[in-house]
Amino acid sequence: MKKQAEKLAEYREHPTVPLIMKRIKNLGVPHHVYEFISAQLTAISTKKGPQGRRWTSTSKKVALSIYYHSRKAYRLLRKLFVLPHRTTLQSILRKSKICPRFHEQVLQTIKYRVQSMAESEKDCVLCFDEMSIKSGRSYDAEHDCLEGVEDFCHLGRSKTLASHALVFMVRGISVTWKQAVGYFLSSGSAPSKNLSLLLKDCIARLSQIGLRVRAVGCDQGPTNQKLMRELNVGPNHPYFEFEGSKVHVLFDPPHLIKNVRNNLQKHDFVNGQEVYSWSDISKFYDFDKEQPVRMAPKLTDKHLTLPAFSSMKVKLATQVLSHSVAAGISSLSTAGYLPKKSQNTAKFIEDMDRLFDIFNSKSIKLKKLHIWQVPVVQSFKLTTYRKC
Amino acid sequence: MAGSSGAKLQADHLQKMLNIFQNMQTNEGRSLPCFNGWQISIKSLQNLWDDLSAHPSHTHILTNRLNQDCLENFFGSFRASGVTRDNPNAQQFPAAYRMICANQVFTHATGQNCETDHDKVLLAFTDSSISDTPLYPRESIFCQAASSPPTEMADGILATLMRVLVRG
Repeated sequence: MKKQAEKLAEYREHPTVPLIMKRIKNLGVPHHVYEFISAQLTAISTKKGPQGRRWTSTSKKVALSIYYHSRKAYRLLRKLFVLPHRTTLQSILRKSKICPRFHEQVLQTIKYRVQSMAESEKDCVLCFDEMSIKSGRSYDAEHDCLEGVEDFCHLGRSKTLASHALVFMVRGISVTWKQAVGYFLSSGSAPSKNLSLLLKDCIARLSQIGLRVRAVGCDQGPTNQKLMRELNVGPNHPYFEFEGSKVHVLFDPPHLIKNVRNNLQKHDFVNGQEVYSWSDISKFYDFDKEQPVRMAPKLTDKHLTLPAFSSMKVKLATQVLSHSVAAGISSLSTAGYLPKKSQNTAKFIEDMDRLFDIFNSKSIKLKKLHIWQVPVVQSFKLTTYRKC
Repeated sequence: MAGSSGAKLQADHLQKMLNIFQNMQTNEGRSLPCFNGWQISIKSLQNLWDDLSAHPSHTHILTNRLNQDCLENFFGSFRASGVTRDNPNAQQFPAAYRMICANQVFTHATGQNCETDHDKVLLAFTDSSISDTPLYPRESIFCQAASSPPTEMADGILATLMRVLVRG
């Protein structure tokens, strides 16, 4: 009798984990909190080392969601609490393989978000672009398939090695959201035939979940140009129709301005009587770089000579086709240092600068902005207007 | 000048540039693809605005949202993931894709060629291919053995995560 009473007292003082958990469960705590406490207590009481821990699926789910919010925070939390190791989580993720296609599960999930959006927020732009990747073949033993080859999902795979990843991304026009919806692997640029099918497929999938694709954005690569020809898009018909609604085509303005600069460097542009020429810019630079106080201080040799890879820098193009260069050429021409016809080049540069500004408006706060940088609007009150 | 002057200036300027690009040629008498490109872009912007402004809640377009900087930034975070890695290979790409989408690490290295966009990612945890469709079409080469059927647990994890994150 005495022994039993002692046992009971000890039991009250040092209850076992299952007993504590039973009591906690009776308190009606949420499932994941229960699992968390249970895991902590088990880890403390057990004699097994970290290797011996076993996790329930709920614990793993909770851990994974923390891990995905912030890996750094997860590392910190692992120091404070008993949580599954990174590799444990990764082994779960390994079961969920991501492969080249439109990710239907993503679309189905963002569908819920879309349902709660206001009508105007559903208008979006679909962008696609390619990124070069290292080509190499590898074998995925777990899924028994070969990785690193050209893969257009339902449009077929081939044996050639992939060198580019084509990514599709949707972006809201009036609200700041974006979402990558799928990717494909191609060797070289994706052929326009496939691009066209994928593009239409993507628009169809997006409209199915309630988004309205108003415009398509891409760069002016040769295959994209071919694609646009096939879609019958041209200067007189700058859109294609999809299921009765117009989808406008917008080329990426930074790419376009680089192309204008590159071509201006190679050829003179002739517009009626006016000639726009690169030589005016280089003459201006030769004059300006000697001055103690520069008119276009940002201009360097690099802008004019364009060493390898720098022709890709947007900055170098926008700084050449800028207001300060235009103003400089214009004043030198008036002062007689440059020929009179340089005025035409100056005007063209100024026009390009304004055009780029129009295509690059990012804020509706008017005060700080130049007149050309304000958003495209129907009517707005302009408080600080200065004539250009 | 007051009122809608800015909008008018812009509209006039777009029209002016459209005319310039229509008439402009190189000194060899050729038109160039970038002239065509600008014409298409300018007309599209005009048409897009006509379309959107039919809806009263569209008071303006921020044209910065129509370019590809979002993708360039996306690619930038691919290149930035890893220590010395410039471009991922086909194996690393999906892993990085999932991680970047999930982590919202659209971090921007300095000195990039495009502007930072402050867009939020709609979905934090991106897809895995745990779905009813097989990994690859069965008839395709190398892939006769389709993936093992999705486990219930992994499926549940994704469903939970997505619910958590979509609500957020």
